[in-house]
Amino acid sequence: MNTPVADARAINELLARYGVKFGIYKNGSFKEQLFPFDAIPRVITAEDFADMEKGLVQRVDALNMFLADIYSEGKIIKDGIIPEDFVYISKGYLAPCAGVMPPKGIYSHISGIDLVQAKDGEWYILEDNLRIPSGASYPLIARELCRMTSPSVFESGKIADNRNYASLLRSTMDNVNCGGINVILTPGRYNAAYFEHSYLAEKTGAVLVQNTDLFVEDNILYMKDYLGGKTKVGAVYRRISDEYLDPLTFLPESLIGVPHIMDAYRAGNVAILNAPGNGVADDKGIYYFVPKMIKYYLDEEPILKNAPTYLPFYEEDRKYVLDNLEKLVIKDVSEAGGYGVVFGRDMTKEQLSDWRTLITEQSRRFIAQEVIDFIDLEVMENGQSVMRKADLRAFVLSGEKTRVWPSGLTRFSRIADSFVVNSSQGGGFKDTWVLLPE
Amino acid sequence: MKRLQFEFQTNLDFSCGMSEHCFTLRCIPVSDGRQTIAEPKCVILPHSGKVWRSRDSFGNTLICGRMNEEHSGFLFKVSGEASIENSCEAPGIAQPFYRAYTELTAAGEKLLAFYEENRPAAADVRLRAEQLCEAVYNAMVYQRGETGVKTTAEEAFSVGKGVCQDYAHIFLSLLRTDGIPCRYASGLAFECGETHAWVEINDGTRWIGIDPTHNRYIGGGYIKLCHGRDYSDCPIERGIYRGNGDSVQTVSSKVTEV
Ligand SMILES: Nc1ncnc2c1ncn2[C@@H]1O[C@H](COP(=O)(O)OP(=O)(O)OP(=O)(O)O)[C@@H](O)[C@H]1O
Ligand SMILES: [Mg+2]
Repeated sequence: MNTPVADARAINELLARYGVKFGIYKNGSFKEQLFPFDAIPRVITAEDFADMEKGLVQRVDALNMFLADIYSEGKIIKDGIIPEDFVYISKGYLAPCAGVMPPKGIYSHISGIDLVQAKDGEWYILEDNLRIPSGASYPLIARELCRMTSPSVFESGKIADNRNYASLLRSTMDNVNCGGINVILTPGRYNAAYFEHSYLAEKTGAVLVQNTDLFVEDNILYMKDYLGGKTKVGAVYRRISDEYLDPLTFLPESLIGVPHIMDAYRAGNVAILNAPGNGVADDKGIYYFVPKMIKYYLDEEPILKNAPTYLPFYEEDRKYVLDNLEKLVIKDVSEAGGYGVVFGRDMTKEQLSDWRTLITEQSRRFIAQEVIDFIDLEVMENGQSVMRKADLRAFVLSGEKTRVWPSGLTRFSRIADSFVVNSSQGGGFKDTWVLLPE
Repeated sequence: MKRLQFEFQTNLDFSCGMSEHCFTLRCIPVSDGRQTIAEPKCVILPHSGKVWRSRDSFGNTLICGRMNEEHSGFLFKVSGEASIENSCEAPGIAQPFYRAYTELTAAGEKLLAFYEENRPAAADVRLRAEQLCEAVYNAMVYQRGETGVKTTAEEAFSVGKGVCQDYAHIFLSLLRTDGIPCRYASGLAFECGETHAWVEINDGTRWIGIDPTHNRYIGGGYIKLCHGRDYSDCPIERGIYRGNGDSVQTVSSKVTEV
């Protein structure tokens, strides 16, 4: 089944021509890089996917309930399941969102959940991305190109068609739309994911806009049109982060935000996807509590496992972390993109001792995890087959129902033995094939 | 009870024309059980553009607006009558975020040490707050020009000098270290020709206003305009505009007894 489709070089050339790039900031300057595509797909069996799907739906539903709770009554804190310290001082917690219920009570409409498969076949959740997870367009466009170069592979009826992402996304926007058009708000072409913004706009029929195309009046968000008129906006799939969203509520120096958009949102006149304030739930510290959330809100056992995680904040955990540092992964709670992820086994004696001091002094800032020895996938490198670590970002869309997109972004490391697969760290990607039941 | 007539005006003078001006004003006092406000009037100049009302999650009334056309000055003026109970208390409960540090009120090394030196012995929330208030009052010297709107509690405390905003932030920081829910209050005070800032603590059922700049409970001479976790949650005026010039702000207020 995992026969490569046509040759990767042809596809990579096509990707380059289509402008499938991502941008990164390195040493203060902006560079666009290609995100190298590997033609050997990751294949997930129908059975495996069915389990994963149940687990992901359960997890995202619980996370949405957590967000609704935290921004209203905070029952989970009152009931002592999550300490207050992990919530209200989190950078992702936004007091200006307190008491605001988003349309239909949905906070995380598009969730990107990162998983790895251990060598025994078990899937582990590494991280929930509930703010603006990117990457869905890469497998989409890669599949589109593969379909052109090797149509017969996809005509067999064995592989789930992933072209429904656009319609899933569209119905997710329509579900919460408060009357008016759907727009995708991009910070502009210098953003790392600009390609994706324009691609998704085209595929969903939403209008791609920048902040200067929008304005608010009487707590209603409008798009300016060519003739000096205005069109009401009912849903904004925004691809700018919370702190830049509204210069009159958050960072005043934001040049990419829309003044008063928070007023329109609080008044219930526009849906913002994903809702502002979600950062409090995908904080690496809160990750530890997600299995507890599932039990608390759904009264169910978690179907998918977390990587075994320790919070140095708790004395018992701190002791374990300090004693076992050399075999653990340490993560800075407030970082992303693979920055701030360090492995104890790569540290010198001196570094280990520095880290012990840091963890003791700033116990809330870090989490530690057991290293999961996750599987390598076959990757073609200069015409040779090599084995490289790979993870999977699954996309879960919460519309009327919560659904998992039968595909996903498989990212792999291009460095032998490296566990860090992030694109910003030079990784590549594969298409993810979900097989249909026989 | 006191009956007060108040008038509050802010002028922004731009050195050159500004356009696409969007603003949010927190200048409308609300009735809260301690202060009762009768029909506050708000005038905004120039008249061009759109003005509407909104509300933030802290419970403040907002005046929002958008002026596209070029203008070289901007002013807003609020006036009205307030009846104020001769008390520092208003009923209300605190949301849990009022217990958490913010960027401006997080205690660093110096404030944590200062808290330890002044850790109140009393059990009662009010008495604990009184002791912390007195400690702030004694440790600080009131002086303008030493701090700015972005100065944190820790920074202002390290300098040892500041204005009412700094006193309030330092007091909030100590209260939060002590676990007492509290918020920043901004408004007008009887003897002062500008705006003033103080603190409200919550004892479970009531907000209690305490003014660390004067080391006293607030009384009938204080009219509150807005509140938040710290200054940055509730500036009285916040705006953005297009243009290269500078702006000069002048604030004046008049509170008289009727
Ligand atoms: N417990 C673990 N065991 C093995 N590898 C890990 C573990 N945790 C993280 N990694 C590796 O490090 C990468 C980055 O980790 P993680 O996703 O937690 O960080 P991040 O900075 O949030 O990255 P991003 O947000 O871009 O996904 C993972 O994709 C994985 O390859
Ligand atoms: Mg990740």
